[in-house]
Amino acid sequence: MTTNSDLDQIVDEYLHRLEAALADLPAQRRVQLIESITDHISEARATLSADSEVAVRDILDRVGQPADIAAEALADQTMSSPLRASSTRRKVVAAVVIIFIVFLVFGTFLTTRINNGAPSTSVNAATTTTLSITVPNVVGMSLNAAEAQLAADHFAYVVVFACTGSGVQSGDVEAQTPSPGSSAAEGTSVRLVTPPKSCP
Amino acid sequence: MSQMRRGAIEYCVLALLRDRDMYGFELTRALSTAGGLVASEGTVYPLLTRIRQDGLVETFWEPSPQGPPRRYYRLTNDGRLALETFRIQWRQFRDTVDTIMKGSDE
Repeated sequence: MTTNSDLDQIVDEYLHRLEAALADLPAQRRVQLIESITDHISEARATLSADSEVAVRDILDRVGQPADIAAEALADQTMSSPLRASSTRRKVVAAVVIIFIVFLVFGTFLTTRINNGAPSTSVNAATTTTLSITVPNVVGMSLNAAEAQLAADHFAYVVVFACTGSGVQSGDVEAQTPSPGSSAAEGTSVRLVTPPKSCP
Repeated sequence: MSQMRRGAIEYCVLALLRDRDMYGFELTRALSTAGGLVASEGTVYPLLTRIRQDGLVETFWEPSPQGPPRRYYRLTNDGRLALETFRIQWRQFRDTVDTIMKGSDE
């Protein structure tokens, strides 16, 4: 007799093999892919009238071999749509404009300070480049609001479903890693935890 | 051939999303049941991740009637534009190939 946890273990084992196969991908893409496929498998299992080993293995067969998914992901990375180029161009233009504005503002600021005879300690502030940024607090927000906030702050995100018994409703962020206020590199994947519908 | 197929699948995804937003599972099921298009359901996800990064689709969460919330995909304006451009190019390409294939049959 196969129990429910045996079936979960078959799925976990598959996800681990997938994670290993995707090792060559950038971390951000890897976690997004695993999130998608984890959700896919749960949705597929929810459509079953009875969760059995045969049915679960059939679902995993339909999802495909981890090696095939990895091959597709690596091949896909080299593909570029014409729109990506234009969006990159837009970003470059935006960056140049921002740098220009920063120089303009600091230039004016500096001139004012020098005219006032104040020590110009702000020069260092203008030339220092920050590699890591502060992680915003998205706990308690809806997933949609949290993702919008993280995207605006140049973070990636991945959502996992888990019961931790804090009483937050499903679809709202119960916990996040890295934690709010800590600093992390731009593009870091922030892990958001929300309860699935029913928690035992 | 696989490169051509991969390119076409991307636009099939955009076409499926033209009329309504769909979540990952129903999108990949629709593609895999279409037959001969994708090797397996899992191989669609790398493509979804990429077109999301390219800004052709965006995602949002919706509650599900039974289980956990679902990540839905929806077309952006860029995605709509890319789809329309492809439809025109595809029709011309298909007609030309068909004409040449027909010629070699006779």
